[in-house]
Amino acid sequence: MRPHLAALHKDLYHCADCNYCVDAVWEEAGLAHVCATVQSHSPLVSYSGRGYLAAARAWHEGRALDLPTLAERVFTCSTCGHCETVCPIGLRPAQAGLALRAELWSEDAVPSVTRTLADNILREGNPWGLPRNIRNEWTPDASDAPAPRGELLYLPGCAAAIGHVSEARAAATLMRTAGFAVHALKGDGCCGAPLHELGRAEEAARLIATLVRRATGEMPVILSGLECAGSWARHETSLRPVQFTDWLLARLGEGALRLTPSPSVGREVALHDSCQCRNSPAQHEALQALCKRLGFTVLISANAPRHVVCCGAAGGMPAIAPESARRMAEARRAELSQVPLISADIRCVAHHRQSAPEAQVYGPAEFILTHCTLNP
Amino acid sequence: MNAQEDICAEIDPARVFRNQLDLLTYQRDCSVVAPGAATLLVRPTSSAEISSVLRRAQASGTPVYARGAGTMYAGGVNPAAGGVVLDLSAMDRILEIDQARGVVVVEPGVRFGSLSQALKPLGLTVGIIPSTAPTATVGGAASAHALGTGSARHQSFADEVVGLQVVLPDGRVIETGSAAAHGKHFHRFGMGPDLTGLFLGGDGTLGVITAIALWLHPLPEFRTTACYGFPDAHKAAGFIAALQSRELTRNVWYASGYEAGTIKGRVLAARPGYAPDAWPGFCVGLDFGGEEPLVQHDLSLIANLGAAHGATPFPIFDEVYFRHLRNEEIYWYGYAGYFSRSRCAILMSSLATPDLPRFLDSVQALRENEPDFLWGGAVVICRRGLHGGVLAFYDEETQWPEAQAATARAAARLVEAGCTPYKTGKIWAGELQEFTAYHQTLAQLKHSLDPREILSPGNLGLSRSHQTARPERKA
Repeated sequence: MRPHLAALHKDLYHCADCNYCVDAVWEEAGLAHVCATVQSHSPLVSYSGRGYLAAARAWHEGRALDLPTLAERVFTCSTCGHCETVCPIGLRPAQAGLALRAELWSEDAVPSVTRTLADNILREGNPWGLPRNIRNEWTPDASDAPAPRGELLYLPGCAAAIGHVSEARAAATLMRTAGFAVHALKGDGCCGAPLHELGRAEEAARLIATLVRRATGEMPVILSGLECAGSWARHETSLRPVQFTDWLLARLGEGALRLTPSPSVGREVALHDSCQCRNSPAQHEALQALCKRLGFTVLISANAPRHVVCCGAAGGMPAIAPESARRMAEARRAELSQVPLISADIRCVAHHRQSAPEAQVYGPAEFILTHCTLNP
Repeated sequence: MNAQEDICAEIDPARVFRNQLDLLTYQRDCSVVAPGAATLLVRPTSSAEISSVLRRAQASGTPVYARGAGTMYAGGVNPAAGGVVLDLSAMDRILEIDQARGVVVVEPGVRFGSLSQALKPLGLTVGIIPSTAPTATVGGAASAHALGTGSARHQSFADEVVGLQVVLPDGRVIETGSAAAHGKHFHRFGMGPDLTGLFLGGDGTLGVITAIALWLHPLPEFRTTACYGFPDAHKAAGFIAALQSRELTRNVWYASGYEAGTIKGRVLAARPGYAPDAWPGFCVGLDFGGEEPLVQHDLSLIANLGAAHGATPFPIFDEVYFRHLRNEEIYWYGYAGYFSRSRCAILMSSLATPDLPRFLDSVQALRENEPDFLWGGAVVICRRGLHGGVLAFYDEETQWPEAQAATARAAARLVEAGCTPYKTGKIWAGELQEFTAYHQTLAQLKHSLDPREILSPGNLGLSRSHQTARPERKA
């Protein structure tokens, strides 16, 4: 009995092998590609959602599988979930991939790089295995600046706090400029999102439970990571964190911040929607509204946000298959225009900048600090 | 060097796969047909590579199955005899768009979605686009007789093929149609018998298609839909026959007919309180495309023709269902049966328009005699005649062999009702063998081209013994 596979029983036996989750072209629906792994890593179906459903069904039915190969196939997935968006009958191939990951953990058959990633998250609270205290390096020295508008607890997430720290620093600057005191959670750890993607759902649930317990207090909680928002949404809690972009839009509306585009910068910006935006289109809308409010013309990809193809930032791809993850990011940038890109998903920003340091890809706060003039 | 190593000796090793997990996804297509188990997967990029594989496979007698996206529902790509799967999806180039000759030439792995995307800016389209267009490949459509959007205007996919490039089982590469003489596709017929037709719908048994030339058509500038309700299928058949004989499908790209149960099911699912004075016994939906004045003119003629056959406009079916078929907003995968059962066996047949009532009687008889499955029936209206689809929804975990047997019984029943096999693959193999003179000739052709019978054994009832194991029909 394989409990993770058995839980997907309906999906395993309903797949009609239609191939939508492998690759499909449907211009009217804004669909140009489906699986980033098939596009940039291997064209084999075994790397796609249909491959995962077929492998899961075979394993569920008791067939002996080549587990090292299965692990290589299943852990070379960014878990972006596009396969689920395109499935004509609403099946969950990405969940099948996660279930296979979970079963592979129970068989102790995961690739060593995956094990290292999970160990890093559990030991140091971040996927890179950097010392735990590096997470709060975005926090400047304690400031005595007045905070007339209140206090905020800012949880930037691994990507903004470590992977692309300039985003967390920029966000904190904007919050302070708006008149708020910004607090970090001492010893703040990972919310479990990357661990969940690696197929360790139970430990991921424990991490978010711990984080929620520690964050619960008097202060509003602000998040930068979209994957972190997913973790919070999976956890039952009355505490409702606010995404930084939403928070900023609200402050601009109140007049707490006045921002104008710097005279020297172009006025066009392209939205880099992420797989997380597909699942929560509100962030696509919010970032678009923010850019417009700031006076920028926003270019939106024809397939956004429903059919964006993953840039390779998620699912452990940058560590597990770095060259393919880099190609995914490259393919994504090639689809978008030559103007600066802005993404609400800081993990995407970090991945683009790490795989191509010259890439003009920004998180919302960093974009504002580099492209706008602050008028407190 | 063993036979399998020899087969792929001239192929880049990066495009040769032997792992069980990779082969798992090449066992079957969308059909009810039993899966096969190949031991080697090759992703060629040229006809020269395919030629090499076939020559070497011929020497060792190794079976070879060509495959596109595997979206067909006749089991043609299932490697029943094991051997090698040739995945043609890497051959995905559009080779030529020649507006002067009105021809587009593509490799077999080109998806219809990609082809439409390339032709649209030129104001062009191809004649037949299957409902699985986003994933289905042109090579698969040619090999397995696709139908869909365009059938009302142009008949079948095969009618739209100008010529082919084919790798024969012994590795020779031939061009058919005018390309055989001058290397350019502009005419299919004239040079003696139609060799192009030999490979269309051949399910890979006589050769591997490596290029397909299709006629180009203007992309319709105006589209609209209309649905008509008829008291019964007899009246509807009369209307459709009149429509076809007066060639009033000239500006209709897609047309289909629905029986009473489907009509009620679709409408009530969308409008639970809908209660007309009387429900139609049959409904015909027409999807028009062309220049607007011509379409409007034909719409008016067709409305009059419908009224003469007892039809009344049935706009609610159009609103809740039919018009959404355009751009494939609804797929055949979306049939309600999928949500109560796990998969769908589809048996596609051809029938003369007057046989529509007999076809529907057969579907009704299946419902009564095979209550373990959910049965559905629908017809696609062609330029001449109909394609009748019978659908059997079943639970694959518990009913797979039974569903195969039930499908075989359904096939026999359809032939008795005057239908002929369409999209043959393996699902119609047994019935095809019953047409003795035809099948013996087919087998002789097969033997002369492919004496060791390496190409797609089992398809069209052409196995190594010229007999295909057919599913047990006994209920």
